[in-house]
Amino acid sequence: MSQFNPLEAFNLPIVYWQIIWAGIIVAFVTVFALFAVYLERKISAYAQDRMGPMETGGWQGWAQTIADALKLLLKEDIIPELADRRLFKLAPYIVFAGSLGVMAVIPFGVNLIGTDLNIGLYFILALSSTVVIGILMAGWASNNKWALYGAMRSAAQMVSYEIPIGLSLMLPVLLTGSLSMIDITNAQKSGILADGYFWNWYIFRVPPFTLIAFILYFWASLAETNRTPFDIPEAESELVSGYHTEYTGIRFAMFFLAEYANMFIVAAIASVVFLGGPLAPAPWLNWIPGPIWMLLKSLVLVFIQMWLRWTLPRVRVDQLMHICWKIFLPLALVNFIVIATLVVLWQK
Amino acid sequence: MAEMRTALGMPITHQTKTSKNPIIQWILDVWEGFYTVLVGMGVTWRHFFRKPFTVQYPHEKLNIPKQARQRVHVDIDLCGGCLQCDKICPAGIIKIVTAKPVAGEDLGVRPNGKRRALHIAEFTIDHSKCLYCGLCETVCNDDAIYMIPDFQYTTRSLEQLVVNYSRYSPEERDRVVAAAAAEKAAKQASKPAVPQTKVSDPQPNIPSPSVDSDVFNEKCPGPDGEFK
Amino acid sequence: MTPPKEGLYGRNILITNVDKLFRWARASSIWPQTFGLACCAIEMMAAAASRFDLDRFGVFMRPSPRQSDAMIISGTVTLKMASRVRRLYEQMPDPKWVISMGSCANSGGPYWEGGYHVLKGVDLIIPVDVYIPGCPPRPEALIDGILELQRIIKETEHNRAI
Ligand code: SF4
Ligand code: SF4
Ligand code: SF4
Repeated sequence: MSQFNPLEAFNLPIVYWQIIWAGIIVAFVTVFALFAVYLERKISAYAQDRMGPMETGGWQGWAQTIADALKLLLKEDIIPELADRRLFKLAPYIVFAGSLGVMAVIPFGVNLIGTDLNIGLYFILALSSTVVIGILMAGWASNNKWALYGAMRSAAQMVSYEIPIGLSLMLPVLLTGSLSMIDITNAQKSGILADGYFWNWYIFRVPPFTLIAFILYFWASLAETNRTPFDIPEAESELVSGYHTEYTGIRFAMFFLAEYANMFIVAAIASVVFLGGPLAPAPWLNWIPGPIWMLLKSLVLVFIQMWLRWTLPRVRVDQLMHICWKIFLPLALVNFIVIATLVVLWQK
Repeated sequence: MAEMRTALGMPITHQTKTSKNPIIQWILDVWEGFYTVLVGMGVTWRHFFRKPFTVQYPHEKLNIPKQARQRVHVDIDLCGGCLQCDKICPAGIIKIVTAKPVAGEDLGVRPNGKRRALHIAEFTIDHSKCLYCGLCETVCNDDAIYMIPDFQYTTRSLEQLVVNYSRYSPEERDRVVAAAAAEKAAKQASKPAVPQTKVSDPQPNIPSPSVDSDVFNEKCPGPDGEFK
Repeated sequence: MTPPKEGLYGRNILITNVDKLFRWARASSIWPQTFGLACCAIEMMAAAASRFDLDRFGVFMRPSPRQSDAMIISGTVTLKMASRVRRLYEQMPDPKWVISMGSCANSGGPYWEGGYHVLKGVDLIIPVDVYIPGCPPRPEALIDGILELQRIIKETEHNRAI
């Protein structure tokens, strides 16, 4: 199953395949976002000894987020009079496109990928930085002080945390010798120990260092997606609701969607780069297809993100910068240097 | 952290290690941060499996304590029309219209055995202004006005919250009030007019307190703290 | 066959069914503002907390008026606050609803006669859909009010604004 190649199977030109895949991705991300919002409300409820949505649609309120989305579509669309209309309208699309574009290079199976760029990981880092532009645009165009504060905080936070993210993602790249996501996935099939088992995944490859890199990436990605404990851009007790204070209805829904899509994307990157992506943990589990493993690993990481969100308080701005520059960055640098030295020695 | 716990009299469950070497101290700090996050996650994990506290209200209901003050109710059969509740009500929202029965009319006895002396022609409470203070309940001698544990009376218009507890329709009210007034007028006419001999007591001439205008016209202190 | 001119946009099967779906969506996801004025707000918080959990009905407090559908006037509307309440109401996108919670918001409550500083009922400045009596109303009473508002939304044949 993992050797299934859709291009050969249907004999399609690559452009058609990419268009179909784009449609699948958009549909998947939308459905996933609805599901994730529902999951988050349930998880937050149980963390607080509540029950969460119970009434809408009957059993356990399963239709709650569908009703929410439908209602948001039907709301009046307000653009403040003093807002910069063009930028105000453009911003949600940029944020959404920035997160969605990353999905193009994430492998869901060993061959199931939008396009296998040879600079895959680099593409991810570059494209996810454009989200900052959208957020800054939203904050500036709203002509609202809270929105601008939120956007500035968001920009400062995302730009700072890119560095530990980049440095921790470089470890698997050093070990693989390639930036392509498919190469990184395949390199986790075999190692020093028996092939096909979970101990070949990069998280367990060079024991303490890759594990630390995984934890660093995961934590820094929380800041990248503006989630608690790093949700100061949307801190509703200080800034009304951050950079999307002035957005209504469908435009607000796009920001909301992008936030949950982003959660999935950072989880998917972590599972491809550190957890073997579509690979099964043991050879006798190979009959379960790759996409299911991929989804399972990503969902577990998404669950941990939510679990952390409902555990931790929000950090202050100075603490946020302290964590980034004085803890994550030195750790990531030491990790990087050690692995680089090891790789050089190994090749000699 | 440890000092704070000691000051609060809480047991120290986790002792922070310290070191003279700044690098080792840094590593210890990072480890402590990571470890405490794990502890917090453990607490959340335990809460995931606790039974929710939620009472699913329209389907299940909490027991409301007996002394809860939720809504004023009037048992109009018991009410004697003494107007005590009207006088005590701090919001002034009870409107009672009583009328004396005409001669020969017997209103019977109330369920508590007392004779009914007055028509309660109107007894209106405007629930939208009630404070739920319970004073009316306290002063009523006949236990006719009391609080009931009912809170489900949400409405779509304020008029629905003005409730008339009397058994008399507006026409009947007008009739009994007019009858009582007519009888009173007839009695007054039949009585010999008593000359008003009573002279009101002369009020002692108390000088009104002289207001020292300076006290009231004192200026607030300015920003530099001086009186202007 | 010429399509019937009359009633094309009135009650026909397609439009009534779609309208029903929309009304269901609106009624099932009422997002009120995180906005409290006085003591009644404490009961509103209690209603949103674990014991009564407004989230069960899809009621989910939003900090920004731009993203909310309903406004719970929970408490005394002083004259100073009245202009802000009005502005917050105007900042909400249509369709929007107002729940008046407690005696103070309904009609000035304890201050209806002698309060020199209190608005005598919030319906003097904004249209109110549901009045919840009580001082303060129990959290259950607030839930009752929200259920009543859901009934209103589901009954309204033509929506106020689309
Ligand atoms: S409870 Fe208080 S405010 Fe209400 S009717 Fe009785 S005395 Fe008046
Ligand atoms: S105090 Fe009691 S008996 Fe007197 S008027 Fe009020 S309800 Fe009637
Ligand atoms: S109705 Fe009563 S509880 Fe509510 S704000 Fe007014 S005084 Fe406070």
